[in-house]
Amino acid sequence: MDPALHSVLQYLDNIIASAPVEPNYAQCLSQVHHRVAEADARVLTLPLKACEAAGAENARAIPVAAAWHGLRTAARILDDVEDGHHRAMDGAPHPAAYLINLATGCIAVANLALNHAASKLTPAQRLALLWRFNQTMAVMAGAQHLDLAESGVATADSYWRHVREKSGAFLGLAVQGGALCAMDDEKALARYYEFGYNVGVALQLVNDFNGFFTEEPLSDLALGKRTLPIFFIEEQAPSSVSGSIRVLLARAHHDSDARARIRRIARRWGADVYMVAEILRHHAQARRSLRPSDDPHHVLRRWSNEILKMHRSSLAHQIVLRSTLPLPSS
Amino acid sequence: MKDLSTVIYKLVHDPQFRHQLQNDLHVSLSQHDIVLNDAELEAILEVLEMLQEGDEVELNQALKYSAPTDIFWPAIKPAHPVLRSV
Repeated sequence: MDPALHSVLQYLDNIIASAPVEPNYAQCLSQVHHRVAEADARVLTLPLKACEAAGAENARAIPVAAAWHGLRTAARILDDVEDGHHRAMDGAPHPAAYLINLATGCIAVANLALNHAASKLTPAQRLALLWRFNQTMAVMAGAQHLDLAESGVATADSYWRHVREKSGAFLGLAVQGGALCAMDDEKALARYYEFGYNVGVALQLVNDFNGFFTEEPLSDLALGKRTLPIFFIEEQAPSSVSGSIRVLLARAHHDSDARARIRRIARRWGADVYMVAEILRHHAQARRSLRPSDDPHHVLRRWSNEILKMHRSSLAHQIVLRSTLPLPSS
Repeated sequence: MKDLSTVIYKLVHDPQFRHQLQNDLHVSLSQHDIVLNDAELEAILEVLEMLQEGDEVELNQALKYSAPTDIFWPAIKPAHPVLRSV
């Protein structure tokens, strides 16, 4: 395991172990933090890299990374409950209640880590850190509220708002929070936020690309979620095409053939290429956010290049694939 | 969103526009009154590159079933409009 990742998880384990918590619940809390970290380790060390980029030893940002990971774990659990994934849990008598209670513990652990992080900072940095963490949580919850509303994410504007206020804001917090452990220059901190924000949007778009174009039981299409390919078609394709998509979407939840047809139509009209362009645009925007003095040793730049390289090769493969796909019959 | 999505839609559906973009991105966009920022331009260039790779794969697939690649490839490459600029 990456030593930086190990330090953050070890820190969280120590916080959990030092709280007078029921032993089985403490064990569950520790395990869920580890599992979420293993599922996507790349972003967990982002606060440490931002701290290093801003000129301090990365270890100084371990409590911030731990607090951020605690919130991320809580958000992931709550998202699963809201998306109905908890139904797949066998054996638990009240899976949703069980998971919500676990998420509550993660938020408490995140706050304990945040308090510890704040105790090592100047009063101005402390205030800024606590303010930003809590403000971001409120913004993300608001975006989730939009998703859960009866109309859901129904327009391109509400889609972009949702992506920006959930994923963009949260990655922005990771980078800005890490940099805050090293400095307090407001203008530079805004640039760090911008970097994380754009990477966050790019990562969410990659998720949404896979959620739309990959057939899985709980894919976005199977859950009836409207994401960017749908809005692209509504905006650009002839109205007869968006009409067909609307009819197919109504069946998508229970009909894999309808989902396959939606995907073929979306590719036919270029929605896959558009998503790739948006992902690449946000990566480019992230690179342009930082001044050379913000990252003199290219810590963040190297990190984002690795992520981009990975995205680029899988997305290029998708675009290459599109030319070999059969066109839909209508 | 609108300008970037408009450019992508056009380049997927209009081969002539795509060839224009491949030849001179800035001139082609200004001819169509499309203004993009630097990050959007960078994204378009990368997408064009990926699509070009897609064309090559498609062409290679076609050649695989029509003629031995090492004999046929040099002859077709200069004539193919997309590959001429490679």
